[in-house]
Amino acid sequence: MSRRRVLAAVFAAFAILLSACQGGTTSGTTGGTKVSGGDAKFAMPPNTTPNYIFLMEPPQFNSNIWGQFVELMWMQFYFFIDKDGNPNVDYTRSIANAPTFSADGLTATTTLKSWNWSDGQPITSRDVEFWMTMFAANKSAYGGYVPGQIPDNLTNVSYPDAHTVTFTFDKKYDPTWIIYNQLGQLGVMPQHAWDKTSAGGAIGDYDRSVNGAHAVWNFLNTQAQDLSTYTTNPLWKVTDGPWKLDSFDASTGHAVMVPNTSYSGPDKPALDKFEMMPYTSDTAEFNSLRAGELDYGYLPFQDLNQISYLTSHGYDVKPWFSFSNNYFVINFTNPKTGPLFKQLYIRQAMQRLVNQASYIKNILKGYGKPTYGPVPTTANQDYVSAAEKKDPYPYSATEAKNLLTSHGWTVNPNGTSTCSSPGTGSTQCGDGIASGAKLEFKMQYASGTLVASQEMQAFKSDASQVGMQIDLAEASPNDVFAISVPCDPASGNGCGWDLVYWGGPGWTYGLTDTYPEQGQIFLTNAGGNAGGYSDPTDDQLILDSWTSGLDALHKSNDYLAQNLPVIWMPLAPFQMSAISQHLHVAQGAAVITLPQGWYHTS
Amino acid sequence: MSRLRSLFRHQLGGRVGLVIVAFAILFSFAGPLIYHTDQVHTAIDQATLAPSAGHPLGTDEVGYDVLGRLMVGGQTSLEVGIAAALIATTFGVLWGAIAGFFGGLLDALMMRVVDSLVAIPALFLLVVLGTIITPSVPVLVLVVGGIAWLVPARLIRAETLSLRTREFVDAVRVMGGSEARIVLRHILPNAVGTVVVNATFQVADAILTVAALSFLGLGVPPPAANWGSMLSSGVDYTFAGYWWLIYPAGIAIVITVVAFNLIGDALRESLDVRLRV
Amino acid sequence: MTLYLVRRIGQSVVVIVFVLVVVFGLTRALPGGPARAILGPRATQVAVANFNHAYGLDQPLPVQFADYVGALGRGDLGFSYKRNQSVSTLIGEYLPVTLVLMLVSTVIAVGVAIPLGMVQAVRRNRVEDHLLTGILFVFYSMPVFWLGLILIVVFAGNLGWLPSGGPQGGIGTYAGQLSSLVLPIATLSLVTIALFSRYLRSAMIEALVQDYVRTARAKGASLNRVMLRHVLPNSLFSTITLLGLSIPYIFSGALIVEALFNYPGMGLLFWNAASSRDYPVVLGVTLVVALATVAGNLAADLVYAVVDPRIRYTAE
Repeated sequence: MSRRRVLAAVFAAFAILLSACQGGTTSGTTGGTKVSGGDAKFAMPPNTTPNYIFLMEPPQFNSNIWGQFVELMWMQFYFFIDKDGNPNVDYTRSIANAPTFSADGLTATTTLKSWNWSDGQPITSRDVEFWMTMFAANKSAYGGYVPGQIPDNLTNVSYPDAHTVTFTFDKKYDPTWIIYNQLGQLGVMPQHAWDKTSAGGAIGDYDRSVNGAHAVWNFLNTQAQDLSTYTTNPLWKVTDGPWKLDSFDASTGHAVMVPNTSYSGPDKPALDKFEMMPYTSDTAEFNSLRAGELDYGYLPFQDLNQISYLTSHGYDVKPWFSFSNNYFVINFTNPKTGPLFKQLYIRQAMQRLVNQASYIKNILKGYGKPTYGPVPTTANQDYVSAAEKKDPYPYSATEAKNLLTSHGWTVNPNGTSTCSSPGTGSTQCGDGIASGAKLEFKMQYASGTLVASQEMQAFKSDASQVGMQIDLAEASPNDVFAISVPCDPASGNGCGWDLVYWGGPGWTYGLTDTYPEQGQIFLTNAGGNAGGYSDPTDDQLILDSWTSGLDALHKSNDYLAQNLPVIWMPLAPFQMSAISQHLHVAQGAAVITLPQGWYHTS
Repeated sequence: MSRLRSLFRHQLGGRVGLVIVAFAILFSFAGPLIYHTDQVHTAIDQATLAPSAGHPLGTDEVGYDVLGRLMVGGQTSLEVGIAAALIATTFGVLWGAIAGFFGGLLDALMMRVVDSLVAIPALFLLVVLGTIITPSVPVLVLVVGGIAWLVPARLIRAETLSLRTREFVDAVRVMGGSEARIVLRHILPNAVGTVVVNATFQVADAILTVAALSFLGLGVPPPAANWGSMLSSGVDYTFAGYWWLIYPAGIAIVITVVAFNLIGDALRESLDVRLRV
Repeated sequence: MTLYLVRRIGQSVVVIVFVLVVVFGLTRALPGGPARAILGPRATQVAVANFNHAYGLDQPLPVQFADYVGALGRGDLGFSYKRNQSVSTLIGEYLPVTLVLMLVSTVIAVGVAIPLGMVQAVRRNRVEDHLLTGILFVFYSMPVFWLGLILIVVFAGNLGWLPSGGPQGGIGTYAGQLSSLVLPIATLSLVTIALFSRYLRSAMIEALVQDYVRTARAKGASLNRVMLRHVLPNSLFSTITLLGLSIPYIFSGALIVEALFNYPGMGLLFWNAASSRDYPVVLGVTLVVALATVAGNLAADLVYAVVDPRIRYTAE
């Protein structure tokens, strides 16, 4: 299931027992005694409610709330918890145990724990096979599929017995990459309850044929379209996770979960009830928070001056960061401005004009993290190389100006700089840039957050110091996504934009890539490669990072940090969490929370 | 001109309106020459400051001086309002006059188009349009004008219908005048009163429509300012207590729109003799 | 009369078809189509192609339109791309919310505007008239969202008497959330009162100067009698006409109020759907609104025709 990716960064759950209330991942009074039972009300982000329950979801239904919803009910093949803001696999909470690899590195053998479904049936390799067949047959409809990766890179999967699964890959990949980014994406579905093609039909082995698998998927997808039956449909009652759905309001998205008494895993819930509260706006949520109606809510960023009010009314306020970087995208394929973007010095000048420190201080009020490269700066030691911990391009308008003048540009502060020395020499503008070419770009950014608007206005203002003219345009986030495609000369689609900013985060790891390689973002023709960045050296480095371990990962990410395929921006918190001082929480890095690890304190 | 002066002699409201409009124009266009502020370069370390000596109305969320922004914003709001009203009136009048004058199938066709466009509430249409086109001042003028022409079209059509049956039209035809000549030189001048009154109300409505569009995020992009977009950021700060981001721009809009409505009312009352009881 | 009715209905149908074509065309004119917008920036080309195929978006435009109209004929308004629910379900959930907002506001507006108009007509050009006209003028000239914003800041922010958002959930839950209905309804009512009373004031004044009224007055009838027996009934007809024609305006006002108060009605549904390129919902809501407007116009015209026989026989 694709959510695992998200899961990838999830869970501080039982990390609680291990690490108590250390660091910024949990809260609660240090002197409180644990109280068993009770309810907890959790605020969902505005206008985001669960609206899809089937595990093999189409991409448009994938949101962190979808993950929050289904991952409480269905366990994953490999379960990821959070350690200091990084995702780590936790085999005690995974259905599968750690894999063993064959000598040639091509085969990974995994054994399954003897856990049960909620109806008493055991979880077996047939359930994993069900997932694999459905995945292979329906991958184009499924949000977790990355072309070229699993299952495309498997030559064989076999099920020697009820608790063993063997995966054979087409070449020798790095074991961590396999565990985190390939096997870590797999889910487990109850074949004995779901392998049918109609509500009244019998269970069969339909999934073992391609047509049958299509039929099963269509059936399950259609069933998932009826939101009013989420609590009554027998299909959705076969679960294996710590929680089960007690009530669900289809029109508001309000969901109530209660503990699943037949859960086989180690982290059984202490609470009696976990409620997911829907809000149409963050103001509505904030009202509810101020009225004391929530145990775990959030403070809208524009109301940061209300922190003291909340603290004096029984809440702790802390930022909650996702395991992400942030950037705005450059269109290398734009016929007009593409040649300009292809010049590294122009990208470097642009990066030099992004004043990350100032944005963090003045716009994010100190609650932000700078981005120096594709890997989040807070990632664990192994992932971040020494080079990536430093800012390769600190803010400097002077440096930006020098870059331009040393490459044949006439800098015109507060106007528009022009190329005065065209050509391909080392002190000239570069290939494809004509004499008199203007340094003018259109930036389209997503509306809806004050932060994005402030950042872009500040960027425009700073860029004008060196005559880099940025024309701003605001559009809804979905419209901005729609624009962000590489240029298709046949249809003209994607050929008119220069720069886009989704408002952050740029890329959240843990969805399909817990191990932070860049195969889905910066590889030529990758799905997330909105700007059409294409660099053969980079492509090779990325492919190497799949097969050759940490050094290769560092090399690949270092190269990208220097080479600026996008322009890095500071990361804002996913939300400013406001947590009741009498609630001890377990929280994951990929913005999924683990209520099975929560408890009230007296 | 003298008729215009005499129009307002007994209309206090109209005179007040004119004074306010004159002030608004002076404030917006001459104001920045006296009170210099930088409305192009942000100063995010000075964002959302309360009013003080240096900033009489405080600063907004990227550090622009609010009073200065009111002036610059006024320029756009007034320009778009007046331009959109002119376009709407011109286009609407011609459409309505042609439909009303020629009647028959042409009239039916033209008015069905008007009816259809009226059936879609303007804002709904604009929201969908707003996802296709990126706004700039000319685009905004066209879009707002493109919605507003429906009202004058209907009005003028009704007027034309009643005017064309008058004898003077037959007289012109007998003398050999062309249809176009009749419309342009005889019908329209007699409808001028209605047109002018309507045009004034169009300006008022256009300013409100632009404000609404900016609130919905369909206004001109920063650093361009208009009163409506100044308010849309104010919405985010309802609990923060930054009253200077909420009241000034709104009051500016209300005063200006009231002024245009006053003028329109005064014109209408003067031109409509029957109401003098 | 029946001929008139038939012609008007025929024209209404033409209008609806025209509206459908325009909005359908507009949604298909958006560059890039809905796939990327709905699927997000991580979507692979495979996912995009699959989406387009699943929703028939790779078909030629006329085929898409024919399919859509065919589905309409079967009562199928389509399926939301993003919400995983059918458009009719969504409209069924959200329309009542907007109707509550619009109807209550309109009833309040009419209930207030008529007496106000009468007072202003009777006391025209006196102090009361000027005062009322002045105040209403100001409300009339206010942007709807600013009025709502001020009400929020004052009543929810500063005084804390009322919640700042609309009620969460469907109308079934309203009983427990009456206080959150106050501000949105107050906002929409105030602007509608201002709109109506402007019209009604002049309509009533115009009625007062009619010859037959002047005759009645000359014959000794009191102002009150004249108001009640002549002006008020005529104003009611005017009001009905006004109501029919104001439907688009009130819908637009509701859209803004819903966006401001995050009041989960059809306006907000439309706004979210348009921003996320959820075409089926956009088309569905537009259709409903157009139908309502056309029906409103038709009703207004009928009332007008019943009252004024001249209309039926001329110029249509």
